[in-house]
Amino acid sequence: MRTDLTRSERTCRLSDVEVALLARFRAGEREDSFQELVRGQLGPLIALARRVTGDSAWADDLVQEALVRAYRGLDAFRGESSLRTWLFRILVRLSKEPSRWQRSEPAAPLSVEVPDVLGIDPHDELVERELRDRLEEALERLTPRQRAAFHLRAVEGMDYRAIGAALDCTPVAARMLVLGARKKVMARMERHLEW
Amino acid sequence: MVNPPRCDFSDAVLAHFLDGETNPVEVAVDGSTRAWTGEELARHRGECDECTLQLASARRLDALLAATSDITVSEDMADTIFEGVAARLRPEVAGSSGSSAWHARWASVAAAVLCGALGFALAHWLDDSRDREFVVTDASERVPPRDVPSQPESRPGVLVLSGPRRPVRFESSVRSVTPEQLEQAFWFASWTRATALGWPRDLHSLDVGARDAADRFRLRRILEMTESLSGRGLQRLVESIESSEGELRDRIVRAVRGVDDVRPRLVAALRREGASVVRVASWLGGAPLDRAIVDFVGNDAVRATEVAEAVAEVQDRPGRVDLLLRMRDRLSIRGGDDDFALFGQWFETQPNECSHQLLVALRDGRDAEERRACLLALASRADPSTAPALFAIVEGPRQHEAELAAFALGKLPVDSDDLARRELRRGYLRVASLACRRDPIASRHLRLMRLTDEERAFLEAGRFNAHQFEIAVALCRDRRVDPTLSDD
Repeated sequence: MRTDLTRSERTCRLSDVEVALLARFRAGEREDSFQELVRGQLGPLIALARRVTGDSAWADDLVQEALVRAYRGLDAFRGESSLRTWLFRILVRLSKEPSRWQRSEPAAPLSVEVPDVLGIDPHDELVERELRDRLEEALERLTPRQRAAFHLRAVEGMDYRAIGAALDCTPVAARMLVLGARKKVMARMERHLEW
Repeated sequence: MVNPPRCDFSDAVLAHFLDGETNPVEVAVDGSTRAWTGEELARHRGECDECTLQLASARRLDALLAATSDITVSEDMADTIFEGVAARLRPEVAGSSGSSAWHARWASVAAAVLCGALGFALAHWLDDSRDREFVVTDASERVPPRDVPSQPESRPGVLVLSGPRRPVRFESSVRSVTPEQLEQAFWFASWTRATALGWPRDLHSLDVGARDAADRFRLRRILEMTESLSGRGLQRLVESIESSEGELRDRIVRAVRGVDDVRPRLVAALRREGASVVRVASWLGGAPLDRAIVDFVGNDAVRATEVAEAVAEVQDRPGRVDLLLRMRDRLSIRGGDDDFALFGQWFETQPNECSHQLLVALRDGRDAEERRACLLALASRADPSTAPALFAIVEGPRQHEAELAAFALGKLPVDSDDLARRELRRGYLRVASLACRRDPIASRHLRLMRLTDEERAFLEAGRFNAHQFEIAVALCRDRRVDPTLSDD
């Protein structure tokens, strides 16, 4: 079993901490090092899973199954993409095979907890809540790949090369997905987005 | 109010200011296409209220999406997730790679029923009148325990009864499996708990007649439900059936598909819920799946991106290229008549291996139209790895294909400078390709050509589409003055 990474792997997409944790994983400290390695990725994974599935219970199933696949495939991970991009890619691929990971019953309609980062005035809360509801409604009209691409661009700030790597398509295709998603959502939300 | 974008520059403005695109962005204005620099786009944005509003709205949308996607993972939540992962990794849980959650669920039910069956056998010796549940599979009649013959044929887990004058039926004790587990496993609530949909085949020891009877019963129940469902209910039914497997699922799908008034409602319900082309095609029937896709999209207006996504779901990746080429003549896609634009859109969304598959199709294909389609697709993908093959075609014997290959070379990313360095037998094609990419070397050749002002401006603008490239080739071939540009 390989216990260290080559210089080319170290200089690629992983931080020093990630490289060290990966080495520990391959040396046999599998459970603890894996948890430390992916703990910081849980939030983005859950967010993407909820976006793709539209269901919080199934999103949790999807994330768990993605982590299982990641655990099994981590020995072969070469760091050619960032850890997050690699995990996203696993999750997106799995999302196309719900029979392999769905174990929960569908949850109640997704209710997203929005932190008060906008600093909104209390009496505007109703308006903002409606805005978020319309956004969720508009996102449900997208295909899963469009939702995933739009999420990776707008939320994760990934460039189109990374989005293409996560979605297994070319950067041009990734841009098309984002463009199409954005157009559809803006068309449905036009009244609510006026400046 | 912000209206849907009408300005031709809106997409380019978003690409540059929102997505950080630094390369010039192509814009089609009044039938002609050229690339606009960031400075030009900034100037336009300053003059166009619509683009300014669109950009502001898009930025607000991105911020809103980011705000609604902020997930904070507590320690407890993380621990719960990792516990779930550990449970899935444990060998005794049938959730390992390659097994489905359906099998995991049935493994536990099977174990419970086996225990129940053993208990039943023991109870049968001890108490003949013990309450058991019976199911009749070829009729709706329930048979009470007292009518069960005293000498049944039994096998582990299942009791099979048969006789010349009795209906074929089977029974099993299910007291060790909770009703909630059965309700979860059998997606519709039914008193037919023992034989309801999804009973594991490996536990069945039915004879063929009983199994067929059970299937007929299930199909009848499903069709009864299907006919009364609409909209969301139909959607849920479809999802539940799709989650089952094997021959039974296939038979159910065929039966539902055959109900005339269900078919259009089913399609409408699926499309309304955003079902993919592949999913709808799988319900409409036809094998293999790619034939169903071709039939569906040939009769239903779909968008180019939907086609691309549908083809991306085809498991056999070499088959994707064949599928798209076969669909080329059957599709009715909104967006225009330009073959290149439509075809290019489909191929642009294919995985990276598609370039290789297109080259294989070029190498092995004999049909001229299909080869032409492959070259146009390669041009849209702009994959630098295809350059060596394209150069070989430019130098090849087929004039028309040489021009298309040169067009594809003209679309490669600007950092691929093989074209600038290489001398080709058909020198005028090289010049046209360089002009297409707005390569500075092209201007050196253009100075040596006899061109009108309009023709020179056209060639210097570059960024040609397929039709424009043909014009550029003709100009480069016919107007050259420098003898080094000759093709012999």
